[in-house]
Amino acid sequence: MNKKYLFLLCCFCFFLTGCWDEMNIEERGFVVGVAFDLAEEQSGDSPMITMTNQFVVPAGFGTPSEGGNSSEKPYSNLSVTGQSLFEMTREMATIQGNAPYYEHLQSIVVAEELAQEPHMFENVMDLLIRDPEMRRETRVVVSAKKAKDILEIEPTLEPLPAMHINTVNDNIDRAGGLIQPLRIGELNEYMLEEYNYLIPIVRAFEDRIIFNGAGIFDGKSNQLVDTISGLEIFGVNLITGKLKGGFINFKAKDEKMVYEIKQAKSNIKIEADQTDHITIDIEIDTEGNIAETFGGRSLLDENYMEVVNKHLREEIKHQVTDILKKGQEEIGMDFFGFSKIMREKHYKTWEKIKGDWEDGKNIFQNATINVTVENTIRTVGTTNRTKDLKRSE
Amino acid sequence: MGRSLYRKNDKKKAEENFSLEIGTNLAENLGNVRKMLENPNDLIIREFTIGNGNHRTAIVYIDGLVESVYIQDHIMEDLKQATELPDDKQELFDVIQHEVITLTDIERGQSLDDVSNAILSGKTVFYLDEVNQVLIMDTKGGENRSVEEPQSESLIRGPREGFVEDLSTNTVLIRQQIADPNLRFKNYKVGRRSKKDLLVVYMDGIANPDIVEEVKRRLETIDIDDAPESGYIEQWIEDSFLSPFPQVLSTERPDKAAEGMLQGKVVIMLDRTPFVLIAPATFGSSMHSPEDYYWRWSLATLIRMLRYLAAFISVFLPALYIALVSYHQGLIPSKLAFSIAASRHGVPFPPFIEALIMTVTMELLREAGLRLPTAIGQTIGIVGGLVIGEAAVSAGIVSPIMVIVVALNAIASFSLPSYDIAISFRILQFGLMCAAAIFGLYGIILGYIMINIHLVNLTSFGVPYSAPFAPNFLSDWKDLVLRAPITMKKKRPVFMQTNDEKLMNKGDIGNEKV
Amino acid sequence: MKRFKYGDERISERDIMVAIPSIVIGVGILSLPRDLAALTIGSDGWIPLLVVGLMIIFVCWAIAKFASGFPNQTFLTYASKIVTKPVAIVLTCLFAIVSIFITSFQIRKISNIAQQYLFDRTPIEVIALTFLLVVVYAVAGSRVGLFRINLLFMPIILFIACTVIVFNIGWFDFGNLLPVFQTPVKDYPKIFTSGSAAYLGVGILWFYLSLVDEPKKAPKAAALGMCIPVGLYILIFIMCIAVFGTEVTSNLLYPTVELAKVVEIPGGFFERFESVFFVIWIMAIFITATMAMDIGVFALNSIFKNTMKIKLIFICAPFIYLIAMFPKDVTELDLFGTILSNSIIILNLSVLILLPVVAKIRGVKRNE
Repeated sequence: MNKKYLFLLCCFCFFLTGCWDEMNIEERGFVVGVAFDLAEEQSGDSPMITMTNQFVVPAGFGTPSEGGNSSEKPYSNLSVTGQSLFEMTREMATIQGNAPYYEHLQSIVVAEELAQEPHMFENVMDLLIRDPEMRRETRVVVSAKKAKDILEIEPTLEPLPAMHINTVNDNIDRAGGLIQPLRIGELNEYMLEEYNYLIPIVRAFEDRIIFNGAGIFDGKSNQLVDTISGLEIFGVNLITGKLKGGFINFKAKDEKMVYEIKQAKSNIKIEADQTDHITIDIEIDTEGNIAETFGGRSLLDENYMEVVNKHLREEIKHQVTDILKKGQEEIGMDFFGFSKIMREKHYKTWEKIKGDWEDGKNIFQNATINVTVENTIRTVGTTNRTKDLKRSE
Repeated sequence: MGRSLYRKNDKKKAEENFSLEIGTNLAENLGNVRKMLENPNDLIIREFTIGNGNHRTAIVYIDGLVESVYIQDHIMEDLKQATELPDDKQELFDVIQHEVITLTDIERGQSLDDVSNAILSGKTVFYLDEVNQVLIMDTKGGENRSVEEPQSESLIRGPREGFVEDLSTNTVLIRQQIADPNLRFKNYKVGRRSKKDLLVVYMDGIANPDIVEEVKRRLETIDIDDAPESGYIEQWIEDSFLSPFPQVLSTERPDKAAEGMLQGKVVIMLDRTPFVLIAPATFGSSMHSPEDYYWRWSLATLIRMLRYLAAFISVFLPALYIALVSYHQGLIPSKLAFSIAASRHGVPFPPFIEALIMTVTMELLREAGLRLPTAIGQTIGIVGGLVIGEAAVSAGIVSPIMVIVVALNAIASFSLPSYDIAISFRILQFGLMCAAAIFGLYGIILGYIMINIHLVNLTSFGVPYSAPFAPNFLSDWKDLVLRAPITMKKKRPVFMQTNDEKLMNKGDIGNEKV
Repeated sequence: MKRFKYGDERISERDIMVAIPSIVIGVGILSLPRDLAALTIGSDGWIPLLVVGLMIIFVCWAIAKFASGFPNQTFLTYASKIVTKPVAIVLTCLFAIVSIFITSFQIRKISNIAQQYLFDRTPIEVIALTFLLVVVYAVAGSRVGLFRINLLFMPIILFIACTVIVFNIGWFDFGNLLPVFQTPVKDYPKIFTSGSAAYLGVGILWFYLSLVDEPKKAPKAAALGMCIPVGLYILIFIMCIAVFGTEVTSNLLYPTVELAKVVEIPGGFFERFESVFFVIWIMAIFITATMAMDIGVFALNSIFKNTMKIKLIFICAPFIYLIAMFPKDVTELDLFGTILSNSIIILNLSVLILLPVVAKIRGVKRNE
């Protein structure tokens, strides 16, 4: 019995030498945002990257009893230039004093010029996906100018610029011309499956962040190929069915109106019997209400409503076909997720034509795409008209 | 016990010059009593004569232990008024026992041991000259606390009476709760010196005879000088002295004791203490409060769940704090993490030391509050809570979050119904804090697993401590974490393996077992 | 009058029902979706899972059925009756060795994963040693206690698994499940072996059945118990595919843990659910390791009847530790796992075929 206790005692002594991983919370350098730029001075054969980490300075938050009006900024940005990310994080640790800790990383900003370089983007992302410290929910955005600038704005509501990007995202439902920043988990999927994908572009503008357009990334080389505008994103969202809400301006018999989309669904069918020529049918179904009118006609008039609806359909169709055309002819890339549907629904055909989808025979570029649009106008607001045209004339 | 206790050692025996037998000479007998007790000043020996001065008699008792009214009214008066007494001494002795004295509890004693035991436990001994026997009459009295509300287990709703120090009063309280002929009292004497009365109380026909036998067997092994409190008994008969968990429940409440007996448990009552023991105990039952049954079931269920939450908090909270703050900062929501980091800014100690300082302070405060009179005890609470907490934070020794953690932990621990289990949890809490300091969450889960292993291997009088969680008795879950409506509780706890399973006779009479 | 029964080391058929998923659900499921997704297309991996699962359920039932023919007899006793004592001792030894290897494998695996998800610099040796000590503490207790531990932990494990599944429904992408039935048929044999790796541990039935009170009910209970892991595995696999897609799943080291990473608890008290999930999953791995070690000790104890159980445990523990530390890296560990699972299947199946056939030939009666 005594031997048993002695054995246990030895074991416990052994553990007392432990605490290998103990690191107190205040010693961690919390990184909430990371920005990647191409270094201004390039040297050597491989391009130099500037990595900017946004560290949280907890003291800057102030304790609640002090009212939080601390003069110190709650964050500090630190930039390091180098070739390997891992090397840079280690270097940062020596400069900052405490090692960067990425478990609370909120957003990653990549400069557009860096994303345009072949294979740069995927190399940068590799560490971020691989590291078990990373969460899969971290968002990725592209910055039109210098990525570092995005982390340097001083938002009024949110103390940390990196978190501000996420707050803006949360309001995305209201505006149709935006897409959700890419979650790093999704990015992992796209990179592995070689699907093309979109990443929203942000700009810094007087202490505010403006989402404006999106960058199209090639799934094979993972580089930014082209950009599309907000209006075009709206069309893409309608096609992919990811539209959470938004509005559309249109004219019905010279009267300007605004249609607010509450719900949008899309149904994509692909005919792939002929491998060299496929047909894609897109059905778009929206539901919403008239939010604003610039005319005085009665919206309760059934005939008139039909006209309105027809114009609305045409407008939506117009926007959708525009972006489809751009995708097929100008850019020559499928960023609508058709390839994913092909793989899922027509696996055998897809395996054969995979290589010819965008290159070679250009099957996607030559595909026939039919768009049909359905609208359901639910309400016209609380009142039929706000002014009577007949009387005012 | 053939050997008399008064022969302490051989030396003494040589000096003693009194006989342990009761002789026929009254004066000699009385002298023996005096010599044995070395004539203390509260020993009262009243010699008198009865039957027109024909018969010399005496009564012996100890002042203060007896109710003097009894002696006055029922012994002295009766003897004085008795006329036509027979002349033969032995005959007279019988007549006095059977006809004259109107006290109900009366028996004969044969030896000095009987006499001394009797007078020391508040009885009165009657000597008759030329008879080598005595009469022992129960005149027990003395100062007793009246029945009051129990101090350690106060309830909002429930009977306001609690056990007192006096065993016979306690017996009465139990009898008043259960008026059943199957209620059994088995008497034991505990303590070589103290000779305390100890009662084993159980419901015959409900309690499993094996458990009752086991309790009796263990009680019979007790060999100590004195058992001032039932805690002595508890520690003597418990299954594992290494376990932090209480394997016998203690209570001051007659209703709780009665409830336990109706569930097939055995109650052990010791004289001179208001705390009675209920055995066997299980983990589930130590989380119960009698009040659970007095409230309506929905409220009672919520309170029970709250209590399990409290148990969780009181065991794990400081450990979780340590693990999260010094190992797994990623688990804390981002903004909270930053504010904890801000609040810990400038604190010189690692979280483990910080937590240790605060929990030990908390224990000290608790202990200090207990020792002091109630009025000052409250002051200690205020001083400790406000001054030390606040001052420690502003002095930068601990972080405000730590104060919250410790306060929550203490509140949770005090909200548990049984003081015993609350203390066990506090012991575990320190162990888990160490585990968390070494291995973070991994240490906590290993600690949790070890607690579970210990729980499933622990038994209380043969009943698994973890019952009815495991071994699993689903029907007992009606009264465990949840408390099903009273009308749905048709069975006594299955894990107690009672002889009479049914609590109600309504419904399925056909299935009734014999 | 009933007798009071807790003291005896007997278990009910319900304990068997819980013991089966307890030993089967372990580290296997954490990486299983990756192995299957790497070999299949779309969500086809569920087919081998189901087919192998059904086979294992049958094997479970068959072992229990056969063993229940010899109530209150240890494996050694009835095997000696059938295939002579030396052979029986060899078989028992094999079971003991395999069980000890399972324990080692589980301990090593959990140390690796714990190091990845909970620690950074803590040496694997220390993580494994602590775990082993707790396992030894559990095995040193009563055998019935182990079954009670199973009863306590199983609901928690199933609950956390369900939480992961339910909270992932938001990310469920039906498209990821497509295409279906595209995996070439000739690939299936290979997939089957990879799928069966997760269904280890049915061997406990050979031994624990001697403790069951009413062995007649045991086969049904064992089969029912086996349904739990089969169902759980299929659910988790489909969830992984639906959330990540086949390609990502096949590239994640521990897809099931990553699945927990996706979970966002509303209200956000815990931000990184995967750590919580993994911490709870340690309990699952713990009971697997404990049961395996207990079987090893049980088997050895039936050979060395005069040696105390505690002595056997203390002799086994260093071996378990050394075996666990033997593989150098993840690749070697995976190889170790594959060899182990194959040998377990071969051992169980051959014993299952050998014993009844020889019993039939030699006319050994099953005393029912």
